[in-house]
Amino acid sequence: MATSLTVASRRRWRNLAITAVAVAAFGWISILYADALRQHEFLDGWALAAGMIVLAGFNMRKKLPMLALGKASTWTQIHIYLGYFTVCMFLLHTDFEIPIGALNWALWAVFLIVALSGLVGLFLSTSIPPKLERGTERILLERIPGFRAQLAREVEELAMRSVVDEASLTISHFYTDTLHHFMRRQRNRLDHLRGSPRQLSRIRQDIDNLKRYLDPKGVEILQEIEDRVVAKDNLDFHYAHYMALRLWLFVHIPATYSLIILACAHVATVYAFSTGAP
Amino acid sequence: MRILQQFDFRASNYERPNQKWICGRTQLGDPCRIGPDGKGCCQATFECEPRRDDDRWECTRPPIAGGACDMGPLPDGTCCRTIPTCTPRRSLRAMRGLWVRWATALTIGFLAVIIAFDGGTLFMPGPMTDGHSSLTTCSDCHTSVKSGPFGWMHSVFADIRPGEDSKACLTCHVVGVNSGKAHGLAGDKSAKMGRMIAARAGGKPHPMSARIQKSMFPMDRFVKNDISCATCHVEHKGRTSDLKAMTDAECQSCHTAQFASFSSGHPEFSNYPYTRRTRIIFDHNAHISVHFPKAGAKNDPAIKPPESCADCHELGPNRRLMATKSFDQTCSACHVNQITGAERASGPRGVPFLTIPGLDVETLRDRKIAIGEWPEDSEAELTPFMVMLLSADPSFKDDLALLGTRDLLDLTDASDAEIAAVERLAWGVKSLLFEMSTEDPARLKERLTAAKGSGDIPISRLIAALPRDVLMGARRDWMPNLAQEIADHAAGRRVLIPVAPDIEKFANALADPPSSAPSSPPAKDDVLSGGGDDKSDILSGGGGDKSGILSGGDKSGILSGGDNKPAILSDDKSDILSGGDDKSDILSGGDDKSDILSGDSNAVETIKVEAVAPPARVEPEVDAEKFARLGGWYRRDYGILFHPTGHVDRFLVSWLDYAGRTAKANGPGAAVFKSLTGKNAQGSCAKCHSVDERPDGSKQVNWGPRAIGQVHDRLTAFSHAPHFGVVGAKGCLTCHQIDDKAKYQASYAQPDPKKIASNFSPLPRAVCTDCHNAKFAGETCLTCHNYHAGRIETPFLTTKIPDHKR
Repeated sequence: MATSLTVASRRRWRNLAITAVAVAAFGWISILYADALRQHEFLDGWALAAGMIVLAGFNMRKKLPMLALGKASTWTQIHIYLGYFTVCMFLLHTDFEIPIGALNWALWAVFLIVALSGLVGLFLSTSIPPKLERGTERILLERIPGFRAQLAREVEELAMRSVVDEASLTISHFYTDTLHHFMRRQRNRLDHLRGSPRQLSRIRQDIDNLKRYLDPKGVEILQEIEDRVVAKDNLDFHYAHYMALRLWLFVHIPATYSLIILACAHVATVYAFSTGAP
Repeated sequence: MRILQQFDFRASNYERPNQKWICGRTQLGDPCRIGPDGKGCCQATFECEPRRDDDRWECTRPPIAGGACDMGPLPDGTCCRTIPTCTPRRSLRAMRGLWVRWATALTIGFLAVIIAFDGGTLFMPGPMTDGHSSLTTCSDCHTSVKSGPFGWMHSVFADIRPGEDSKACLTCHVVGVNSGKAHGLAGDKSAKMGRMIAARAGGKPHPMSARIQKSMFPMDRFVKNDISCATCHVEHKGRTSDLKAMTDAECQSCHTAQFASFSSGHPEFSNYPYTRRTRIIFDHNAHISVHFPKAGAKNDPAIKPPESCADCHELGPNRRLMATKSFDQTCSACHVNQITGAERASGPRGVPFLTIPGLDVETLRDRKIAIGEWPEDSEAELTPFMVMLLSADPSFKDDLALLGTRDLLDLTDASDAEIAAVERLAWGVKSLLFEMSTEDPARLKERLTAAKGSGDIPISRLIAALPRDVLMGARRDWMPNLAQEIADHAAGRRVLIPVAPDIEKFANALADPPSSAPSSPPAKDDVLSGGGDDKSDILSGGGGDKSGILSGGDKSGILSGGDNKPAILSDDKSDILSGGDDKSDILSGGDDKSDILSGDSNAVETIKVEAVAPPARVEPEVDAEKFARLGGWYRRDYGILFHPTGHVDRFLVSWLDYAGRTAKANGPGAAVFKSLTGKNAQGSCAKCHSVDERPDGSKQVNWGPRAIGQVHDRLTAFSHAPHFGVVGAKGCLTCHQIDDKAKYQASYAQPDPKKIASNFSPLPRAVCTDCHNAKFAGETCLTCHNYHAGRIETPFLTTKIPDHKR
């Protein structure tokens, strides 16, 4: 594990260094280009466009797995570091200024959305999987609703059984007052993303407090319920993180399509209104 | 912890997250195995499809769904467990796809709105500068863009030639004919300047970045091709953006000599700011060291030598360059008498314009040469002006060349060809005098044009309002029968030189006039008649050509009292035969025609000629030359001369300009130009006004110092005014150090204005870098330089006068 981290870290630094050198070199060339009375916006603009095409190609690569277009991991690395490079080209292209015209402003804003969502996605994609790995069981997202319903049914059955077997309403009242709400659907999403066990601890504290009022059989039933509560909380943890891993794409990908359209319009207008100056 | 997930196919479903729709019961934990179709419709029917085994139906529900049910299929083979229908939901991937479609639609909608909105103004990448804010239509500047919301799309595919849009700029900004050339300079002038600066830089190594830039992005095509305005002036950067901003690196990109900054590496100045000799020859050194002290020593209150530079110099109208004050403010007190000639040892003299050149009349008469009357005692020479005017005749030059340096006053040994040339010369002079005195003065211009003179100077300036009376007086005195002779000569008749005794005979006849006039009206061709139309009779005094011997009209008769007074009777107009203004004399031919010899038919019957003593009038002797010392035309001997009226005399200025244009070697104006710019020339124009030789060899007199308001073709943008406060006590001498060793006057002995020996030492760059460095006053290229060498102007309005009928 330690060795693989070292390799990943080394690769990261190497890629970052390559990206930094490429950005510096291209920035310098762009400055020389501008000093040579050329419009640097054409040079770094086309570099930006080329970067965006390659970045968007990553999505195509995922949609066309049958084609031998390289490993997805390689594409991911390219996507990440080319993304950094493209952001730098974007800053050069805009002269580090916020544009004024409506079209350019929209383009600038959408690019910013794509870039920021990409950075957020990168952060989530690197931080969440280790968290998911740390649990006892990694559950597929698609199966979570089924398991949650199954656990809810089982907890409800246990509560019912406590009424029948124990002739006591203590557990059933606890179920209706607290557990039913908890078990019914996804809960405490932000707490899970923050890594806070506060809600689970509170329920388990309630369960512990309840045990003093139960006989051993009731305690046994309550123990089974607690196991399912913990399992449900684990499902919520997974669900929250899975959704986080997927929801950033709801911003990144649609914004990318908008960006491509606006970029095409931008290129068309630039050439339409070009003065013929180099 | 409880383990929930199993991957055994009997215990878990096969998940298909890439499907667009999922069962609506998934969230309840009880999705059906069938799932929605591709369009999101629920397909739920039964939990299984029973299988027939012989005559029995068997349940086929899979183990993961609970295995075969207890009830089993119905008798008709239908599953007994119906699946409740659901409302299928989109999968996460499908939801994301929906978001993509919405985003795409919104983006396209957004584009449609900004294209359609207000003529596409939202397309603009940014507002234009305030100066261009009135340009509201894209096609005002982007020439390939058509009108209409989608007109711009045409230009996406149109062939945009560099410089096309610049033409739109040039409709409002007049940059000159070389607007697309580097610095607006013609031809390879900028390249020449580049080589000159590179030579001055002395081969210093260029910065590394400059070398790399040149190799990667060569600038050759910028110099060769037209540079569009938008290369440097980038619009749509906001209302207050600086369209003229340029970085030093941009400036240096084209330059052959590249350096880090003005204070570090900029080539040294060479002779700056003295690129040519001054147009007015003013030796600062000589004036300061010699002339001003001398003038001061005279203690003349009218002459006050300057005490500071500001006594002669002032800030020019553009407040950038220094101008010289006017002649009247600076030079006049000491130099005006040199112009009028008052201070000359020979006194004021005029410029001979027209003369009757002296000829060997006796020899010509002996050889029966027909040149008519010609004054025998003239010793005048042809003036350069006459040579130029006579050059209109193609044979004149040949005759002049043939005669060469021959003395025309001695033709005894002249060949027949030379005599013939003299004859043509004589008739040429006569024709010129006759033409000038009788024809429209504008005809003179035709002679000059024919002589290949430049014709854009008004003839009125060239003849300086030469009065006809002066010409007529000259004719009367010099060649009284000129009109008749010209007519005879034109008719092919030989007009011999009159014999001197003939003239004496006429004079004697006049001294013994008849006692009475005939009683009958004289015929118009009678001897004394003056009433006929031709009025050419001996005693004629009427109008017309009035060339009769005793004529009193134009005073050209033998007995006339003309200006040169050679005649028997003086011209005080009181003499017996006078025809002067009072016209009261006995033989007057004036308007009242009441005199005895008048052409009036009534008067001649009654009036007798009586010897009347002339009134005692004494005409003082007046020297015409002195009389004309204030300027103007006068006659002297056999010449008509012009005396300059003072500084800026229009006659001299016009002839110097006129003749200078054709004053190439052997050019028609060369002699005139030389005569007016010589050391002893009247007016002494060339003493102060330098003469430059144009590339074609013609000459140009510099009539004034550099016209400050017209200086625009400079790449250096130095402005004096901002520096007045920083030069301290040394003032002008901070930059303009007098070089007392310079041979200033000698530089005017040759024609090239670029070869100079300035009174001032060239300005060292260090004087500028004391302040102009990165720390203090700045050192960008545009601090001291213009990109455009020419002036950027806005064309004047062409508003038509409104129609008053409306």
